[in-house]
Amino acid sequence: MDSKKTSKTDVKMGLAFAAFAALALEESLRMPVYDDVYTAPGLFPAFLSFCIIAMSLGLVFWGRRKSKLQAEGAVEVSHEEAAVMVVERKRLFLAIGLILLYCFVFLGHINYTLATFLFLVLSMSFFKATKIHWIVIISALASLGISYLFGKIFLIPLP
Amino acid sequence: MDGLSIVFQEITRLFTQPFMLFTMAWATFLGIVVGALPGLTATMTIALLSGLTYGVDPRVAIPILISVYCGAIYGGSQSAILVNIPGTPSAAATALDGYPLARKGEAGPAIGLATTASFIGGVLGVLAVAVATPLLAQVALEFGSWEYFLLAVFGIVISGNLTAEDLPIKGWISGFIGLLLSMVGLEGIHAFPRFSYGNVQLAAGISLIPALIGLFGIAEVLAVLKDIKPRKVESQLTRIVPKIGEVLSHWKATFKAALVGIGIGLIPGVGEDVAAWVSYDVCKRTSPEKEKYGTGCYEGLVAAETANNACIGGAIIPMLALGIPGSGAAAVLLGGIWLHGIRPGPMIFFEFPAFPYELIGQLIVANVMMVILGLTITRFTVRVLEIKKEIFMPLVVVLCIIGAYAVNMRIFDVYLMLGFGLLGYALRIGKFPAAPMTLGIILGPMADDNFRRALSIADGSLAPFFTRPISLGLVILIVLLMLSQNKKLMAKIFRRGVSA
Repeated sequence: MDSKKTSKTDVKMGLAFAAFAALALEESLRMPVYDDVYTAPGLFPAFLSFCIIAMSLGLVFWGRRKSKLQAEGAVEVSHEEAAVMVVERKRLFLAIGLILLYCFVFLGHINYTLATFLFLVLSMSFFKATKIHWIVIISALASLGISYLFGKIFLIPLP
Repeated sequence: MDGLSIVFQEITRLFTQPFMLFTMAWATFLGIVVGALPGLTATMTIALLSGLTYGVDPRVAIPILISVYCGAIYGGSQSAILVNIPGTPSAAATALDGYPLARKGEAGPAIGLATTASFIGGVLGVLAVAVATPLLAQVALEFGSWEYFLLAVFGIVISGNLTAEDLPIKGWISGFIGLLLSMVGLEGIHAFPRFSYGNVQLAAGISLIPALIGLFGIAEVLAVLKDIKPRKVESQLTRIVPKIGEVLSHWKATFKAALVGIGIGLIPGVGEDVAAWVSYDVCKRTSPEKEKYGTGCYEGLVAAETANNACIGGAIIPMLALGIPGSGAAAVLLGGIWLHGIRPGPMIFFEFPAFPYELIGQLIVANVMMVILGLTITRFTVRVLEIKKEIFMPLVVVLCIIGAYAVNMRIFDVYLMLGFGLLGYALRIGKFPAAPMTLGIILGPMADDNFRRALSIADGSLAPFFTRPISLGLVILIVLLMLSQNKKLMAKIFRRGVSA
């Protein structure tokens, strides 16, 4: 099951990398040529893009071939496995959402210590780290400690 | 002043200045703790601290990075032995014999022996740095643009071969994408802003440290928080400090493992995890008690732990002499050293003549700190291992953001780090190794400048790649490496086709 998932992922990622490299190739070919073609800024990126496209398409080919072979002996995913996958996906999106919230909404708009405190409280609460009063205490101590340590002692500018 | 005097002077400075002694002690301690914590790796921590110590004097900052490096590679063994979860990938082989020993009630002696093995491996690695770095730097002075370009390609190819979980081509793709990403910003010959699309931030290029913090830190946080499995620490600790006889009884395995570790470390971008596995395999094959390996065998533990710490020295040799790091963690260390204005490479002994010897002194002190702390703080590590990941990981995110921001004080770098974090996570899902990408980002400018310079000098001719002896040797090596892997790939496809 895991192997089958990987080969499908190989196809998707191979296509994504090939598309990315094709865009880079197009951009490289549009770069100016100054003294001679050998020192042109676009030469090396074009070479790299070409290599990535070739390798990615090789991976797509391999992944498709493997997927077809595996489709013949496909095994059903159990209910338990499916349930775990759903929970894990939720946790992943929650983690990404919280980090984006911290970086794009909190940081730069409210005081750094408060932003960090809010992020920590929300993260620990959503992931049910411990009881809420402990979460508040840990988050407060951590955000104050980090702000003081880096801002006042190490004199590192905080975002 | 000769090299040996500088080494002794540096050791004296670190041991006699209370501030430095304290700094190296807490950095080694931090390294051991993060190494022990599953989900936090040496590479990630060095990347994070490179950003956080940006404003600190390099004579303080670099010892911090070195101490964390040594501590973290060793620290992984503690959780591998105690909970059967390697704290770092380099400790995965340690768990094979470490955990069975813990289940037999011998967790204390196992940790003790793993600590002394790591120390011996670390010290032998440092000796290799002292002997091999000047020699390699001397040889590297003969290198021209052709050799530098090929060395970068060789690094990417071999790193891809050895770090990819399933297909080497994934490692190569990862490495080439790293090279391509390093092309963003002003290029080295005409100062043309590549792939910047009129954006001033992109024209400044992709900052190495935010990219590495994202690739290793944020990606790790996402992977750990996604996982629903909790970890349990149940081991009871008894005597930890090993007897001298116990340490000496494994001298053959120790020596073999150190040689393997240093050798693997010399190969660009491969690293401590591969060193531990190869050493475990070599020691098992050559041991008269090979059947005991994997069942709680002290020799197996020594084989893995000596090699991963010896690999640190091995990885630092090409980093210092060629500017090409021997492991992912050494790559990040190189980035941290660059931040402080020191440029390792063949000219290091002319431009920064004292630096390699100071680094050797710092490595020796870090190893001493590691053995002292390793034998004394294990009971504390067990308590740290009990901290829930749901508490720890949000704190790591906060530190990652400070680390990424601190280098250039640009919020753009925080966004860049997030982008690389998501890319790093996607790479994990697809089983693409991140180490070749790291190497690609680091070696990209060198490969680009030398590739174009080589073509320009030879007026577009590729002949010098094949007529210069070192260059020809590298071409043959690269071709052989790629062909050997392609053969495997073909055989794999063919076998599947036949079996289906």
